[in-house]
Amino acid sequence: MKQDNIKDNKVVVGIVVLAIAIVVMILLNIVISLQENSSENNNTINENKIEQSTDTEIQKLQSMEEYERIKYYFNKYISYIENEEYEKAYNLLYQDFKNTYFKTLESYIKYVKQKYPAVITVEYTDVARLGKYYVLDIKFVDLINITDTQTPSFTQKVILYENNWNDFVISFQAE
Amino acid sequence: MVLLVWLIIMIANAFLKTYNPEPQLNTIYQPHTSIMGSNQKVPTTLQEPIEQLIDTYFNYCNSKQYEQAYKMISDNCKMVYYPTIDIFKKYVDTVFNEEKIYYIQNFSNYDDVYIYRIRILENILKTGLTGKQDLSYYEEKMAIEKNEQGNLVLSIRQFITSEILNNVYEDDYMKIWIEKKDVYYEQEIYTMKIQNKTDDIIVIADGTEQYEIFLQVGSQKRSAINDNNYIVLQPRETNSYNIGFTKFFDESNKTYGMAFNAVRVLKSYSGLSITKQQELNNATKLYSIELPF
Repeated sequence: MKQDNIKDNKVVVGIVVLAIAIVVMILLNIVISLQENSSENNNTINENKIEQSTDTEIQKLQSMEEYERIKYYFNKYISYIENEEYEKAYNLLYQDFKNTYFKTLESYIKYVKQKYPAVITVEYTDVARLGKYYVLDIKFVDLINITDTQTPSFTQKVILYENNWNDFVISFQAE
Repeated sequence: MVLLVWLIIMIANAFLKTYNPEPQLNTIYQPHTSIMGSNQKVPTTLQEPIEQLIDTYFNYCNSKQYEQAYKMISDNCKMVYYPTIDIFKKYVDTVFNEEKIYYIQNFSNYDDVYIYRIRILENILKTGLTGKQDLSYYEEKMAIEKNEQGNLVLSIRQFITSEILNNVYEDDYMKIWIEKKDVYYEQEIYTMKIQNKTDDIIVIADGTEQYEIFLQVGSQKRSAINDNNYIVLQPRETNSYNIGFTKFFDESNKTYGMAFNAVRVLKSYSGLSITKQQELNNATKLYSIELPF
């Protein structure tokens, strides 16, 4: 009788150990799969992540409405140009677009200096979403050369594709 | 045992640290929500397979892998639009005349058929719309449904399905076979054969009467789409016709049948308005015939 009880206890302990081992394995599995998932990047036009986004910036973006966020991205791009951080701006361009119109950074800088005024003011005439693509109609106003009778300006279409928070690529009417 | 508990706590801790789900990009783009009815949504389990199906087909077309793309199209759709792959190639070469991108929007879901609107346009991210004033795109509707094997199949260019009808109608003057109907998103096209059993001329449609041919849909009479429908049968002649009517695939109105509303059995027929009255005066028979489904 006593021997039977000891035997039963051993079985119970065995089952408990086995259950714990299973739980451990499941948890390990979850951790590993989560780590794998976080390193994957699904269906993205993966191009240029020029700098690590700060948590603050991401949080800010997460609090924005969609179109507000898209405008924020473009403002970020244009501020690089305004601050003459051309390489940063260049790195935000879609690779195939660069290959077609601006094969080198130098050619891009030359274009940008000719095209945009020193102080850039942008007006969003329209922001349209085509699936995952955004088409922005932008009016650039040259505030420095503004006169009583004339407001020098031009419009340009910009295409923006958002891969993830603060991860986007841009192209534009290169003319 | 203590070691095991400690291990579990450590792992649970690691899990909780790792488990920090990032908020998804908030967007108003809802490709699987029907724009015809805000409550209609493609079942979650089908959303990804449908996206993959369309994407695979699109990429085959974009890379001119004609045969692969052709294989993905439903048999009925192929029969109607592209009985040979050469005809399909022409379509692909026309639509995909340069590298294209696309985006989809669920349009309507009815009777387990999921209809998507696809817009195909130049690779705007690559071109930046350089040299273009406006954005243009090619649009069509794709229908996706499961076949008998449970696999998703694709129909393109508004086509939904074909139904064999084999309805036969006969009176003293004519014999009519309505063989099948091809269902598109916005219309139904009936394939029929008509035999003139008389030694007179039979005029069914020449555009001179109202509702010469119509489809009874619910309480509505819907005239044949093509106003130029011209159905005039010479004595003893048999001919085939395709007659289309506006009928939305997802509308709830039932189709009751077709009618020839102004059948004229004439001794002579010139088709001229000046002799029309005289020809009608000499008519053997003026009548209408209903063709219930």
